[in-house]
Amino acid sequence: MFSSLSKVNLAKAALFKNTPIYVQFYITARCNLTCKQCNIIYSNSDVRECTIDEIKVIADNFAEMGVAMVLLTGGEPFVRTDLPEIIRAFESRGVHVRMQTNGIASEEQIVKAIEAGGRDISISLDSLWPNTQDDINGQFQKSWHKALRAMAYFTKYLPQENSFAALGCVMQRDNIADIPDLIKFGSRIGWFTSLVPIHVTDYLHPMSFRSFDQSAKFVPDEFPVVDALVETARQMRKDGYLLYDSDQYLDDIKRFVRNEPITWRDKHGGVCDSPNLYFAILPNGAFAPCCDHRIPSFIPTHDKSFPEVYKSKVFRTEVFQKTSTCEGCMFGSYPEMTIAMRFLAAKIDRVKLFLTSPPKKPWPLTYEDLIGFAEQIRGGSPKPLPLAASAVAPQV
Amino acid sequence: MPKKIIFESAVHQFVTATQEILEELKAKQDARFENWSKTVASWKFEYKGPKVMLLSWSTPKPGEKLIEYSQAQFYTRGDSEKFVQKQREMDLIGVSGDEVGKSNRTYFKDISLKVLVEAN
Repeated sequence: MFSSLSKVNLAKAALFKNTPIYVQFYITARCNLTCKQCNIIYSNSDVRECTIDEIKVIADNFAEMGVAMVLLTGGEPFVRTDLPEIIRAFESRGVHVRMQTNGIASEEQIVKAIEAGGRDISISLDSLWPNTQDDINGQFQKSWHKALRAMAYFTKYLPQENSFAALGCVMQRDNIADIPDLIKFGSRIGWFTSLVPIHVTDYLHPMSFRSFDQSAKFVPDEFPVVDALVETARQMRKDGYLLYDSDQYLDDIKRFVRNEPITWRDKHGGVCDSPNLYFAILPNGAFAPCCDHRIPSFIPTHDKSFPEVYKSKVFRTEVFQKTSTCEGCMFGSYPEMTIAMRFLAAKIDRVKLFLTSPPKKPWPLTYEDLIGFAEQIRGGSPKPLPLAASAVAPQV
Repeated sequence: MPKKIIFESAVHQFVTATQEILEELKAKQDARFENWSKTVASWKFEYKGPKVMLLSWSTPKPGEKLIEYSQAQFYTRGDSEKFVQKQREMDLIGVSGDEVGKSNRTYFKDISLKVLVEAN
């Protein structure tokens, strides 16, 4: 799936921890959904979008810097009419592209994205219950059905070899009881599932990705439910289900919902690995340490000098001022990258997962197949209830 | 009801601009930092129509302010020649900075500062 160049860069990152292997590029803030847990479409609305010419310079810079993978995300990346050109810009320079989408994309758009070189897809799916998903997505009718239709198209057009497909699921009060079924569903169709606990903040500490909705926070009475879900998920992975998350990451989910210190940054002095292993780019091309934070200076990644700036001490100091005061996140990719690069057991697990036993992909699958699998897994059981509405945590 | 995208965007830009104001006060060890932070912690935003929101607070004493933010600019597209041309005409393309982002930040910071002074 990865180009030879990407594999070399991954190996260098594993050895030296100073190659930016993973970049999240927020190519737009626009989105056709308003998901409960997502704030990024509002926080990035204030900046302009890069043009394709600027994105080509970013791709040149990435090739020079040894970036192994760029995640094209948003907003919803498929709302950009030039998405295939963006994919081609990176892939043609040996930078692996992962697309992250809510699944609202036509067959033609998906075909064009794959023809442009996109072989790696992550679709947001939080429940096997259509109404629950539609509710989480901001009460957009049929959004669940549209996501399944898009998944069917991806299984039709993606090659079985050298491709990767995953479901991104945000663990929240509305869907926590649905998650084991979601993992079963993903595994049935050859897609991994990756869990991210909901992130909530308040008006005194605005962060780009985190919701301000205090009622979305897990409350202490619900912590045992989270613990039980984490253990169920862990056991399912041991039983062969396709769950992407490492043990260390799963353990940190329990700590994170309790607002206790997380451990995945412990081998780096309690600070994450931005910008050494990963960073983010805003829609206007500005460097950001991650999806949650910005730095005061405008550092354009679409400037030819960016690879030099990236190495400079002044830049590093400014980023460190931000990352060293961050209490930490559980945004899936950042923790998992650090864990895979810094914890030996996790590193061995990753290598085993992808090199020795790649998952079977029973593709192609039709939309009707997917609906059938979902119904089969849900069985005749009643729809799980969301966690009871509890007292709203106060601001600050 | 789906969330109102422009309203939610304005709320985020407003509180982010406010955070900058508070950080500046904190850095200067300004006595207003504590009280202003309490005011911000009590904020509630309500949609009142296109590009208008009602901001209310309970600290130090209850108050509210109707905020109109028609000059803020959101979601400036760049994905087709038509939008690129528009960006060029507005002199936005380049590497010296993002004028859209900068002017939005200044705009919301100015409104927030007025609200905080009025509330306290």
